This record gives sequence, structure tokens and C-alpha cells, in this order.
Amino acid sequence: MGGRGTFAAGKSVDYLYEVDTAFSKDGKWEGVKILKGKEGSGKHGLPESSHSSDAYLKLEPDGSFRELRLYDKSHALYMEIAYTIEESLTGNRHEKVLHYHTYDSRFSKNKDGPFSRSKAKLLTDSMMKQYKKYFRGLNI
Amino acid sequence: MNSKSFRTDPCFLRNEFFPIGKYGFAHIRKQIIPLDDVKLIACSDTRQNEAPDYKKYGVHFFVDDFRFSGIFSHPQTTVDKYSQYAFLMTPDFSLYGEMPRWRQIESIGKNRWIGAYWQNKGLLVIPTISWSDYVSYGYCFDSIEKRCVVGVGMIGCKHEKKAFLSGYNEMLARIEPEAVICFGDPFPEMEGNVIAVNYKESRKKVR
Repeated sequence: MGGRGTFAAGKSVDYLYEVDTAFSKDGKWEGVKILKGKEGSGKHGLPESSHSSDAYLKLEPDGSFRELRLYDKSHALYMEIAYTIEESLTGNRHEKVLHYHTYDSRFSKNKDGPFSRSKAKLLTDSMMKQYKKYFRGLNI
Repeated sequence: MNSKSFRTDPCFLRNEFFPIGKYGFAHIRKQIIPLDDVKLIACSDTRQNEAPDYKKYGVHFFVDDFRFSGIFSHPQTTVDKYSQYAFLMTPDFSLYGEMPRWRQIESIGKNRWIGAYWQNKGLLVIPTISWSDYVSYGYCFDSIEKRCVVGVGMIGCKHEKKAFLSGYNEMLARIEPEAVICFGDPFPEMEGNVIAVNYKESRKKVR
């Protein structure tokens, strides 16, 4: 028994993640909450749906940018920008690259299956300009 | 049992039922379910030689998973006992938000397989529907024939109303159930043909 939106711990998604205050007192960077998975939650990335925010950030242990997830009005994930290894763009598995994936409604509310996200793509110039402020610690 | 007989055992492969969807869940087909005066008894309160009055009850599995996990391991031991009852809701293997995707998909797979197994044995089955988050909608409504009577449980859901209703509404859209057997008090916002069953009255009675 159990499910239908519930959690074994009896707490919602907000409590599987916690605000990471290691790099700023308010746990935010450029107005976006920095999250990390709570110990024991099994969560290592960012949520696939948001509670109330329209964006969450995840930073590397050294405080540099790792990932930004953006959510629409219904709190469904629609885009992710990450600075991680992406072999499809670099041709190797050791070089990090700034890239993005889009997730349309077929990811969050898949009707036909299989749900999937778009392939990794390099950021456009306008995206770089728009999101640059979040890329903490990156020399771009 | 030798190696070959073990690895070809249907209860090991679990592939005897028609697979539906990305994950090949067993198909739960629509059946005609008597819906006048629905009463439920917990699987943990069922007995081998049931009293006549309780044979009119349906069996629910809105109890902790450990109380029914043996059904999946040894399904053949369940048929005689459960065939006494009016209908069976499929076991409500948990789909908690903390569970990784594979674990949630496993729960759905077990739920469907047991339902198909019981239907194959001639029993009346109501699929119990569960979900976790938006992403789970990609698998948690699979392999249920449209217009089935379905079941949901409300235990523990009162504090996650938004997430519950989101999945519930998605269920209505995907399955278009003939009726929803609701174990516990439904939210007022729940649409559809909701048949609420009081969970206190379904609790173990001294007998």
C-alpha cells in the first residue's frame, strides 16, 4: 500500500531535497534556489517537478554550476541546462560541456510512451546571454 | 528442480500474459463487476473457509506490502482462498515518491501480473491504480482496458491532495473508468462515478 502522490517518509518532494546553503546564506544564486538531495533520500539530481519555484539550481561540491532546471506553470519540467559530460557533443567521456535538453509534456505527462527528453544541444547565443548569470564559477 | 526447469518456469519468466505498453505489463481486461452495495475486506482478514456473509465482500490490498508480497511469489496458493470472495482488487504494491523508477515500475508490473493471473483463473478482478509523480504517468496507467472498474485508496493521501488529484485526473482521462472504488473518504474534487467504501467498516471484525 502506498503511492498516489505520497511518500514513504510522509513528506512531500520539498523534504526530499533541501536548500543548499553551503555557498550562500539564503541558499539562492541569482534568485534561484540551490537544492541538494537530503541524505538518505536517494535523490542526486534535481526534481522532475517543482513544488512552487519555476527553477532550481544544483552546484558542484566546489560551488560551480552543474545544472539548472526550469519548470512551467503547472510545475512540470521543460528544460535543463547542465555543465556535464555529454559524449554526443564532445565525442569523449571526460570533457564537460555546457548544453541543454528540453522536456515537453510527453516527459512529465506521457500519454503515448516512451517518454524521453531531447538530445543534448549546445546553447544558442541568446540562451547564453539569458542564462549566463546562473553559471556560477564557469569561465565563459 | 534442475536449472532448465527453473529458468523456463512461467513463475520465473512471468511472460505468459499478453504484454502491453513499453514495459510489457500483463493486460487487465474489463470485467462486469457487481457494483450495488460494495463492501471490502482486507486481504489480511481473509480466511480459507470464509463465513457466508463475507463471501459477498471484495478483497482489498490497502495494507502494508509485506502482508501480501507472498502472493507474487506463490500465486497458485491464493486461488482457492480468494475465489470465495465477490471480487479481488489487485495488490497495491507501493509507488512511493522516494522509490527509483525501476522500483516503481516493478510495483506496477507485479500489480498487473497478479491481476491477469487471477483473471486467467476465472476470478473477478478490479485493478488497483497507483501513481507517484508526473513522470510516473508514463507507466502507471498502462495495460488497463478502458472503461474498467478501478480502485484507489485514500490512506495517507490527505496531505498530498494536489499530487493525488493530479494523478487521479490523469487516470480518469486515460482509463475512463466505469466506476472508481474508493477505499476511504474521497476528496470532494474527485470526479467520475466514485463509490466510496468506509475503511473503518472494512477493518477486521471479531469473528
